This record gives sequence, structure tokens and C-alpha cells, in this order.
Amino acid sequence: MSCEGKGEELLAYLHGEVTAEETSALETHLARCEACQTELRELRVTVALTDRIPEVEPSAGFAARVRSAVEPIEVPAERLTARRQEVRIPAESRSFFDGWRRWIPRLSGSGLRAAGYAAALVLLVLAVNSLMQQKGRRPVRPAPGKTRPAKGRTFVITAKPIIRTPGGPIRLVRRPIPPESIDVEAILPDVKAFEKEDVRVKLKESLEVLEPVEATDVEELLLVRELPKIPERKRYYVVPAFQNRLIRKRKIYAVWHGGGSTQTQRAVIRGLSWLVAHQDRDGKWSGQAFRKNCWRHYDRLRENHPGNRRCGGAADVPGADLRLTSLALLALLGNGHTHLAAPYDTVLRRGLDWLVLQQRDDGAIVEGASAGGEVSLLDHSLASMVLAETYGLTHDQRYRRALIRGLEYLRSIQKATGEWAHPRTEPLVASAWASAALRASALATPGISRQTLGGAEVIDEPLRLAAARLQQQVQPSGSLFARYREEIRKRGEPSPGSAYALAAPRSPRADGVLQMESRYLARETPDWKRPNWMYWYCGTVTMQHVGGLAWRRWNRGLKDVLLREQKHVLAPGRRGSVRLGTWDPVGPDGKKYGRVYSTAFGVLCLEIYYRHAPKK
Amino acid sequence: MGRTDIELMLEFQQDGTPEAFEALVARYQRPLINFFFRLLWRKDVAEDLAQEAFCRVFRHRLAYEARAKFSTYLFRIARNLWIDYCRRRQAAPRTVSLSPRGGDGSHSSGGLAVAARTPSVTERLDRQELIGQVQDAIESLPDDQQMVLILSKTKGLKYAEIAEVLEIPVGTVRSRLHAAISKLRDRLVSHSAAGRGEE
Repeated sequence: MSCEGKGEELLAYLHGEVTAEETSALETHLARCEACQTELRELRVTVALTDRIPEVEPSAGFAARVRSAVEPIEVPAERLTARRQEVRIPAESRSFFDGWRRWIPRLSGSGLRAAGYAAALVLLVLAVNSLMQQKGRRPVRPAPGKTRPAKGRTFVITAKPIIRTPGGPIRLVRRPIPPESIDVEAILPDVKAFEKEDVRVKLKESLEVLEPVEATDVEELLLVRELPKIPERKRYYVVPAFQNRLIRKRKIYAVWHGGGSTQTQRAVIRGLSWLVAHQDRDGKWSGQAFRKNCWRHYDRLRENHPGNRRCGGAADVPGADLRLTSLALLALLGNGHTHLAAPYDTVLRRGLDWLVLQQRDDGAIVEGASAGGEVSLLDHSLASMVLAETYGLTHDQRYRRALIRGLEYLRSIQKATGEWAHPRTEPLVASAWASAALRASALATPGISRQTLGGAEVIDEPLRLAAARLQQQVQPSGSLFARYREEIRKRGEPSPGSAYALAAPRSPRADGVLQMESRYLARETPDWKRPNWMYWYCGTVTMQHVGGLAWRRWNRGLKDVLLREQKHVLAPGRRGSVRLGTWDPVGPDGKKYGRVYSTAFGVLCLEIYYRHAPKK
Repeated sequence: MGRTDIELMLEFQQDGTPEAFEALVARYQRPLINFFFRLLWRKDVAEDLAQEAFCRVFRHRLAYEARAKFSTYLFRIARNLWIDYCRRRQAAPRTVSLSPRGGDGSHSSGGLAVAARTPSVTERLDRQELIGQVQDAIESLPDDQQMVLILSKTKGLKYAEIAEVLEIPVGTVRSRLHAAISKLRDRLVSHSAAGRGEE
């Protein structure tokens, strides 16, 4: 057997980088081959020698240095303005680096950074100067107050490289200075020869930090027309399913073609402003304690109505804060408000932060998470919907982790049949809400962004299972269905068919189920004499999916009731006036959860036209 | 702290938490500084380069993809930095070390011969000399072999990862490493054997 080329294998063997078969083959060979044994011995000695090279310990301040190096560098404004007085460029300094050499030494006293800032200023001054010479026309005058015409053609500008001209604002862009052309000796005369290189690099970097450089192949300067400022709201990516909420034109279209009107949108805005005013300081909405906030935004109303300071309608049941907060946040998100844009950014941020605080370690969102509260699947699902919609509207990573954990919790308690079972909740209802949360997450994360949430495992698969199971149960053949329907309705919970609509994927089969459900719903359109908020909301969602004549009828009834019954007349002497924008908490569920609940649902019903992209 | 590098990096990437980044710095500062140190034998410059590498990780955090191990990613950045540094250094005059260990082979063998002939030198000094020999020998290797050798001395890097860092096949890593070790052996083991023989 030839030992040619065995060396590599032996070395790999020493490093433990050979497979088990190779090892045994090699060992058999070694037992027989004298030359390879020697080779191995020598290799081992050499490797051992290289292992003896000492390691250095990082200096004590290394981590701190890294930290300070990556923190954003801010240029204090006063430093720039202080320098402004010093930088003067005489007209005869034509050449760029002439100017550089002449002025830098004077500024070098306060160190490299100052030199860097000053250099940038010099650059800009020269930029303007040469611009004028190039164009051969009247000088482009910087905005008043920013220039100080001095003797001859010497003048000073601020660091801001935007100049207003009759043809619109222009921005001066400069190219980076090649580091080898920086004359280090002129800046720091006593720098040692071997340090020059480092100084040069640092100087170049500080110049770049001061003003990000844009790529250009034109010599020193380039005129770029200032782009119109993008409105704050459009700066973040919004998933298609939620775009109707945010894009003005689409929203108007959706309202008009979906059956809404100016009145419905006004009602939404009134309702939202009441909700916003009754948020607690810690970010939640409380079923009973919301009344203590009445004074905050209603000072004027209080003056007019001295005897009527507080809104009535406290909840009968305490401790539904999580549900109410989620509903109120959903109502706000439904109209396209996010925590990143005015006017309700603070409100939403506070509310979302409160919600995230309620999350337990296992991902469940429970009221009083620290006090060992019991999980309500409905509450958890509503809260997850809030997080999902927030993520879909803003892609803000701050709430992403909470969303993932919430979804993982849902998956962890899903049964193999696809149902969610829960004490005190009908499995059907529990499943419906859990899958509604999953559906919202799926809508919020189309395409690739779902992968980052662990999409297939936590969203797609559970949703598919759940939808299949719901579909089985919603089939009208069984008596189960009818029994559920009446029982659940009495308690103010959604009927299974409606709940299915919240979760259903769009498919012909699903449409069949929803058609069936719409026939049931059509028997009783919204009527203030038989109020039931959950029924109205779920019915509205279902009917809108089904569309057609049934939806038009339902919508008419809905609008009649909600527009008529919202407190919106601001007439002195009327008792309802401080409750402007609300709906009275009527019905079994309304009484139980109070005015925040009824108002949030009222708003959610009227936002139906644009909350989701309409069915194709 | 049971979290893996990738988890930390993804958290830093997605949430921008500085703690995750600092944890990564704490974990990798030592191997990274030593990587540069073994190429340069100057601790201050090694730390500067390591700092720059971490800054690049910070600045280009969005470019990281979870396909690669974080260590591989970091050392690839480090290696690119090293290449940049070498290019920059070529323009500038080379610094010449005045310490006893020189850059070329004749110098080092002479040093060793002296050490072998003077038995009064203490054991500690002896060891330091030997280390100096090893350093010299490594320095005299061709650049590519030197890089492979130093990466292989970096904790936790397997052949496959070295291959990924240098963007070369694993077989090339093996052969380069073997070539490097063989050269070292020729220079160190044979010399020291000769030294012992003389004694």
C-alpha cells in the first residue's frame, strides 16, 4: 500500500476530522506501516508546538470600546454653530486641497473630531463656491439667516447641504475624499510617521459619519432635486390585507362600495375618540374604572353639564380588562391607527405595552398574569389578534416576539383533533376564536414574513386542522348545531357559523357553510329591541363575507340601529351628551361588560367595510 | 446563558437589543483578537481590527442570514478586514520589528543554535525562545497556508467551517493545512532535533 498522500489524512485524524470508517482503516494501516507512524509522531509534535503559541487576553476596556464605537454619533449643534464663525474661504482659493491645507491647521487644536467637522464645513463652503463659479450666474443664495456675506466673496454657510432656489430645493452631495489625499502633516504636524495611516483612516471615517455620502460619478458635486417628503404613515410596509385601512383613496372606495357612508365613518371617529379618552393611564381599558377618566377630555362638557360628569354604564362583571383592552385596540387598529403615527400613537403604544405585560412565560396572555389568573381562550385570542394586526400594519419588531409566543401557546394547547378545549368555554367557541387569531396572523404575514414567525408550524398547520374540524361541526345535519346556536346566543357568544366566518379560509366549501349561516342570520337583522353585541359583530362579519342581497339587508338594519343609537347629539341639557360617541351597554353581554364593550363593538361593526380586503 | 449564537444574533437583528450584541462580543472577543494577534503579533492593532470587525457586524446586521454559523460569519468578516488591512499596509512603509526574532529563516535558526549552545539559559527563557521560533515559522508561511493554520487554531472552527470562511473546498483546507504543518515541522522539529544532537 502506498503512503503517498497519507499525510493529509493523518493530520485530519489528529484533528479528529475523519469519519469512523476512515479512522478504523487508518488505524489498521498505521499498525503495519512504520513510515506513517513516524509521520504521525512528527505531525503530533508539530501540532503540539503550534498549540504553545500564547493567547492574549482582551484588554479590560475592549467591550466598552466596541460599545461606544457602534453607538450613533451625534454632532452637537452648538459645536457646528460655534465653528461657523471660523470657517471663511477666500475667493481666490480655487483648488479644493488648497483650502483644506489653509484652514485645517487653525482648527486642529481641539483634536481630530473637530478637524473632521470643520473639514466637512469647508467642503460645503467650497461646494457652494465652486458651484457658483461653474454656473457663471448669480450666486445661489442660501436661505436668509444662514449666510453672512463678508468682505469680498467670502461667506459662510451652515452644515445643512440643502439650498433653496427658485427652481426648488437642491441638495449638495459630495464625494468621499480619497484617504491618501488627506494631508495628515498639515493637520497634525507632530504625528509620527507610522501613525499617519491610522489618522488618515480615522479622519476619513469621521467625515463619512458626519454626512452620509451618496454614490455619484460626477466630479466633486452633484445637484439632486430634493424629493418630496414621504408622509409619516406610508413609511412602513403594510400587508395587502390591511391596506384598505390606511390608504385614503382605497378606504373611501371601500366605504362607498361596501355599503358605508360618511355618517358611518363619522360614527367610527366619534366612538374612537370616546374610547381614547377613557383609557387608563397604564394603557388598559377597564370595565368599571373607565368612569374615573371621564373628566380628562371633557372639561368643556363638564362646564356645560355640571350635574352630569361621568358616563354611566359600568360593567357588572369585574376583571374583564384584558378583553375590553383588546377590543378597544382592535377598534383603533381597524381604522388604521398604529402606534407609529399620530394622532393615537401614544394611546396604542401604552395599550400594546400593557397587553404584552399580561403575557405569561408560556406565552398565554392572561389578565393578572403575575397573580396567577386563569387563561380565557377568548381573551388570549383577541389579544393575539391585536398583536397580529399590529404586526401586519407596522412590521414593528417590538411586538413580534409577543405574537410568536402567543401563537406558540395556542399551538401547544390545541388537541390532535384540531379543537381547543377549555373549561368554561364551549369547545366550538374556543376553537372559533383561537382560529380567528390564527387567521388574523396569517393575514398579517403574507409570503416570506410568515416564515420568520415559524409560519407553517404555528399558523398554517393549526389553522388547517381547526378549519377542517369547525367545518365538520358546522354542517347543519347534526342537531348539535342548532342546540349550540340558541344556547350560545343567550350568553352573548358567537354562533358557531359566525365564528367560522372569522376563521374560515376562502373556498367554495366554506362559502357553502357561510351561505347556510347567512340564511339563519337573515331571520333576525340587528334590532335595538333584541340587542346582542357579539351576535351583531359576528353576524356582520359573516354577512359581509357572503355579500349580496342578504348583506345589503343586514347592513341597512345595522346602520339604522347603530347610527340612531349612538350618543351623538351634543345639545345642552341632554343627559346623554357626555357619552358622545358611545352606545349604551344593552343586551346580555353589554350589561355584563359595560360601555367600553358596547362602544368597541359598535365601532368594529362600522369598520367592517375596510377592516379586511373585500372578498374577490 | 444557554442561548446559541444564532439566537442571539437573530434577536439582535430583529429587535435590535444591544444586550444580545454585547453577549456576542463577550463571547467572541477573545478568539477574534487572538486571530488578528497571530497574524500581526501586535495586540493593539489586533484589538483595533477586532473592534472594526464587531462594528461591521453591527452595521451590517441585516445582512446576516441564519444559514451560516455566527462564528463563520464573523471570521469571514475578519478575514476580509485582514485583506483590506494588508492592502492598506502595502502602500505604507512596512514596520520593521527590532525584537530578536527576525522575519527570515536564517535569523531564527541562528537564534536557536545560540540557545542550544548555551545551557545556562533558564527553562523559561528557553520556552520563550521556542515560542519565538514557532511565531517566526508561522510568519514565514505563504499567506494562504498561514490563514488556514491560524483559523484551525481558533477555538471551535472545524475544517468545514474554515472552508466556508475562506470560501474554498474542504479538500483544499486539508491540503493547505498539511502543507503548513509540514513546513513548520521541517523548520522546527528537524532543527530542534539537530540542536539536541549537537548537545
